[in-house]
Amino acid sequence: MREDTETLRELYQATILDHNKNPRHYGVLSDYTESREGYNPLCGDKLTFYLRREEGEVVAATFECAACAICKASASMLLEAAMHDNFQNYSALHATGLALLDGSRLEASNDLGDLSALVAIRAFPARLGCARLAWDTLKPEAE
Amino acid sequence: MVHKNFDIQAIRADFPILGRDVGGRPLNYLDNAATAQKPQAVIEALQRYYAHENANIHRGVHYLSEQLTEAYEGTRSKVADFIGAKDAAEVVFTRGATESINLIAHGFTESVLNEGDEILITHMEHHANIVPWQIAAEKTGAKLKVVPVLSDGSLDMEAVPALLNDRTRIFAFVHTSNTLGTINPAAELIEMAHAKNIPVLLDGSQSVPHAPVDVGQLDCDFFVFSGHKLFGPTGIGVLWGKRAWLERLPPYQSGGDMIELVDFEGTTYKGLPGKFEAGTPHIAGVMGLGVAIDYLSSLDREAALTHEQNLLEAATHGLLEVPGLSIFGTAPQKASVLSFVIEGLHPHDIGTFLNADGIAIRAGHHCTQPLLKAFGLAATARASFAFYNSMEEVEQLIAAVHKLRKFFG
Repeated sequence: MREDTETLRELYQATILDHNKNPRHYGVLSDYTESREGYNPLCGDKLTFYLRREEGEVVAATFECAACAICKASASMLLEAAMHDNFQNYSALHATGLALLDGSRLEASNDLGDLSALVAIRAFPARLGCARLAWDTLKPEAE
Repeated sequence: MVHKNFDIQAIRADFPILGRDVGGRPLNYLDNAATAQKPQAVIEALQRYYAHENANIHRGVHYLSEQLTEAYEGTRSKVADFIGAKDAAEVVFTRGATESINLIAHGFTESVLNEGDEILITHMEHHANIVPWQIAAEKTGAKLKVVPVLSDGSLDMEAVPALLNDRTRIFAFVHTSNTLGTINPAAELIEMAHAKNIPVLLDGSQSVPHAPVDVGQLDCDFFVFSGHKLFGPTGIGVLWGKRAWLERLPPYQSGGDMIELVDFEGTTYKGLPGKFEAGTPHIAGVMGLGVAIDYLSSLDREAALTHEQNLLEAATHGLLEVPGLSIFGTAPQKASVLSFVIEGLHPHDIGTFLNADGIAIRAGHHCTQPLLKAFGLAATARASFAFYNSMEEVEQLIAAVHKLRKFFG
């Protein structure tokens, strides 16, 4: 296999392809209490998060998007990780996600689960915006 | 068949960038509708200008200034000849097609438009021919009207007559669509507008690089294009307008070089074209544009166009064999622009994948969001061919798209 295809495989590794094909928490939440919309004017990618809160706690969350594989997978991985503990430690999770993308956290590790796949995007600076859209749209204030 | 005088390898050798690698792969540049590459002659003209010719124009009595003023004005005449304009004073140098349209929209805001008037554009306009008119409409109370586009990407000609009415003050439309490749029937549309005394602005940004344009024959009232899409430098563009219209419109910017006499009691402006060229212009850009036009004129343009159409046809046939791929824009009259989408695959992912093979295409909305929205799309992948692209490059594109289809399953 050629080297360039190898690099692409790293970008679109099994995790990202899987989240793109089978996004977690996908669709409109019928009884959401708030929504957040993200938009990338450079490419036209659109993303909406739906959250349902009960007594301040996030009890359900979904997203919908018209976006590329990287944007969609990134949002899916974000929600999967955040819903592990119903957004209890979302500030820390959000900081970790951004650190993986901007390179300030160099190594992925097992305890990060699927989120580790985000490090592959660093090799493709032109696609960083795609991966960041979810993280920029659902900032910790949304907890 | 490729014309016997059309030596693609010799032409490619004129463009230094076509010899470079991208990530270890030869560059396959198929993003010509975004900007075209520059022949060595244009690059040398810029170097020569700064190394040997630099001075200011229109105000020096010294040798360099006199020589340069002559060359600058000579280029104006060259541009006029290139687009079939009889009067070089009707050619105004701007920063690009965008500024040219802004200049006209500003002039119409100041001198023509009133509340209740209508501005007619089409659904396939570039943002540069939408937003300036939206602003003009907001400022004057005029209304923006839009000619719809049919499903094959051609203009809905049947809708045009009713949209050209006694409130219409201008019909501004794109000659060749940067997203669809559609070549609009400009002469016919201009005739329809003129039958009702409505002036026409024709955006030629994507038409001049592909085929000769004759504004005299078309009889449009304004014609605009950018130098960088015409194998010339960035930051230089052209506005051509009929004298009566340019005289009627007020200056767009003011300052030095556009004045006749400045007094604190009042200032008088130069005639055409100086009235629209305030400040020191992009002289280097003008020199480069002139050489780009010389280069194009040295080619057998009919053969170049045939070659481009052959590339388009081969790419269209080859790509349609990719499972799930559909082409956006299939009008009968098309320039060598090919927008496509693949089911279940986002254009961005297509662009990244092709980039790994050294293939440069555009992925996105191509500054035509309303058009894409009408077709229920947010983005497309777009390959656009210039005369210097080879059939091998088209074959490489087709093979790479097949490969990515398999990769994503």
